[in-house]
Amino acid sequence: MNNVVRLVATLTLLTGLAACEAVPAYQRGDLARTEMAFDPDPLESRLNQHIYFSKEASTGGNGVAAGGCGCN
Amino acid sequence: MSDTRTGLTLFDVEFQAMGTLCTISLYAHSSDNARSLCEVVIADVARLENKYSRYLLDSFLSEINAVAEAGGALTVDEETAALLDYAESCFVESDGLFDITSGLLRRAWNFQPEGQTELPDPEVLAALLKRVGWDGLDWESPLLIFDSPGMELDFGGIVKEYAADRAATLLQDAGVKHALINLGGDICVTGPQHGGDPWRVAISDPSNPESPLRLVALSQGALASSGSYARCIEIEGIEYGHLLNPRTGYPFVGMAAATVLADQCIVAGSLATIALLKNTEASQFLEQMQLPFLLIDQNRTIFDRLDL
Amino acid sequence: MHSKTLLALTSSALALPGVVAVSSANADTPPAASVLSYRASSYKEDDLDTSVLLAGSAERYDIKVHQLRYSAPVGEKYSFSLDSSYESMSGASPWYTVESVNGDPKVAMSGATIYEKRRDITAAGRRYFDSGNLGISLTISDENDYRSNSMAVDGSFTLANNSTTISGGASYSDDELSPTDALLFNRIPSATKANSSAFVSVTQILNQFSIIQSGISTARASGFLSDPYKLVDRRPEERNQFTWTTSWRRYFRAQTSALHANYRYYDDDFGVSSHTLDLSLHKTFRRSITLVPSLRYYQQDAANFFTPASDFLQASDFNSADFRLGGYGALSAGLKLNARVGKYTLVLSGERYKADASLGGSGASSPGIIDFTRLSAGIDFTF
Repeated sequence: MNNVVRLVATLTLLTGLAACEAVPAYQRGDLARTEMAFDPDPLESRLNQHIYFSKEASTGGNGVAAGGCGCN
Repeated sequence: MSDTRTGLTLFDVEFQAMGTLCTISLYAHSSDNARSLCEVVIADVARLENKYSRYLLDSFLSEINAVAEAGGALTVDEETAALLDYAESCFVESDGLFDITSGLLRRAWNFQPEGQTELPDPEVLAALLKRVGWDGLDWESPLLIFDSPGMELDFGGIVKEYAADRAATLLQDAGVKHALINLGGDICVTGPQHGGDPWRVAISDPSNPESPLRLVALSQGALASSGSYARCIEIEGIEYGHLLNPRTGYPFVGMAAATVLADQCIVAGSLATIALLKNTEASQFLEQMQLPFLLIDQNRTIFDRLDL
Repeated sequence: MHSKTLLALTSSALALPGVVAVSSANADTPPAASVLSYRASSYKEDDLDTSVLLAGSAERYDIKVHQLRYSAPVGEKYSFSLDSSYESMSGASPWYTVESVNGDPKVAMSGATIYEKRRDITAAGRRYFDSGNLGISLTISDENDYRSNSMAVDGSFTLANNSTTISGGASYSDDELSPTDALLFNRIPSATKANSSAFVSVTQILNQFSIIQSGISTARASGFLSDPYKLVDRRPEERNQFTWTTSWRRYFRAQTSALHANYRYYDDDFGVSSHTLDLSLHKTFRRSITLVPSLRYYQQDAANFFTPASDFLQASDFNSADFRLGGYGALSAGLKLNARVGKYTLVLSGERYKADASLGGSGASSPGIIDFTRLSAGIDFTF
């Protein structure tokens, strides 16, 4: 199961996402909204990542790690 | 509005060109610095006016129209060729409504306030209509051929917006990242204001130019309007706008106005004009563009899609 | 679908001398403004159920956190940020677990509550290029029994189509533990741990309302990985981890809302594998108020060497009864409110988290799994 998931993951990254349209600059207003950002609240995500890292067995998936602590 | 950290202040540099008041709002260290940054724009706008003005007898447009009047052909430069290509795509995309050869029809009308009280003579209009129509000339870049005499070209509907787009590029090339160019209502920005806030542009009520109808935030791109405003006439009790339908030679009934936002000022302006030329189909046409727009139709119905 | 008319006019316009395309709204430039942010949060775990308490205090962690962040553009090509936090923690933690008479595991908690403080600081800088950016960050975390120094680098590159961005990065962390009361409780007096990780991801604009990002990361932890405060805890000296995360953002104009959906798959060679799904809706009212309800579902499978009761008899090389390595599922719901007033933004948020073996995850689970409540309040100043 693990290896199949890894393979699918890597393939997903490498495959182009065919269903996309070219979006001209004048139509990117909505994409640029703060509420559309991948990380609109850096302090909250930092705190949440710290809490979930301390309380659950999984970590990562959020770009680079922000350093360790003694809580795990 | 001064930014003491960087020493930049907002200046408004004004100048007269193309028959209207023009303003460039930009951030600079001093008013002399602001003025000198704008020199290149003021010079380019003057150049375009001298080249394409219908009122200057020694403009290149007058030279084209001399050939058009007599019939014949001439070779045009790269810039004029590109403008003719642009005019042609407007003609095609508007199903023939946007036509730079239709300026001739103006001769049957007098749009000064209290200038006209009667409809024109149908025979006069018919004679003019025969000499109107992009299909009546042969545009084979760079050769412009007038097969029959008596035609006339008018770049008035596109040159001012084109000048605004060029002005934005000239300022950007000079390193000015936060400027707004306003050539009599045709507006282009190089970027938001210094500090990131957008520029605030007021769109005025066509029936009352002094009062602002709507405020638009502009951080990039351009804004242009088309519409009757003060230049409408009343004949036999019916109000007419000043945009002429090139097929009938008549203006449309009622005052309509459109403002469109697009990346390029020339595109915004043409779309606004084409929309009004499409008369009752104006709102459908503008909806299809999926661009922010404000339309006030003949019945004073407001279509506000500026928050797109 | 774009209007053919608009495309035709735009392409003719761009052929005019001196008329240029407007640069992309997503061009790589530093943020336009500086921001100073503060958050105060309170995290409180529910008391341990007395029916599974063998000994010690049932009061679990109660943590107060203060966070401060400063970020600013530096000239036209750089940005800088400084993040710091201060945590003060009190509460008891599970010490060991035994099987009671009827077979159900019971938890012995540490007696006296622990009072601890932790401080951390991260300094980061970023350099912006025409089609990408490069960043570096340094972090120090310090508490009386643990010190971590780490560094991370990352970069992004946007392809010529202006719609696809490739990002990647790596980090390394060097940690040192010196457990308190080591001699008294026969704990290891000092140990070290190192962590390294790398990720690669692709971000793609799908259409004018929608953007998706998918990435994989791997990490390796090595050194002393066991919990020194548990009476019995023997973990391998190496842990290799893998994640696959996909995030989607979709804007709905009619509802002035943005939908966020994130999914993460995780597995490691401790035998833990997990799924995380979180959804949130960011709805804006009157352009200055945003309400964000959110839901998170998490499920993990137990580690290979996890047993609900601590293995005192050394029946196997590796063993842990730490609830965090058991099999369980967790559901949490949150709500956040943002209100912008001039240059200030006020933030209020809360989250309620419940973990239970019945919510998912395979493998045995610990009676010590937690439920918690978090409340936060903060303010941002943009200048």
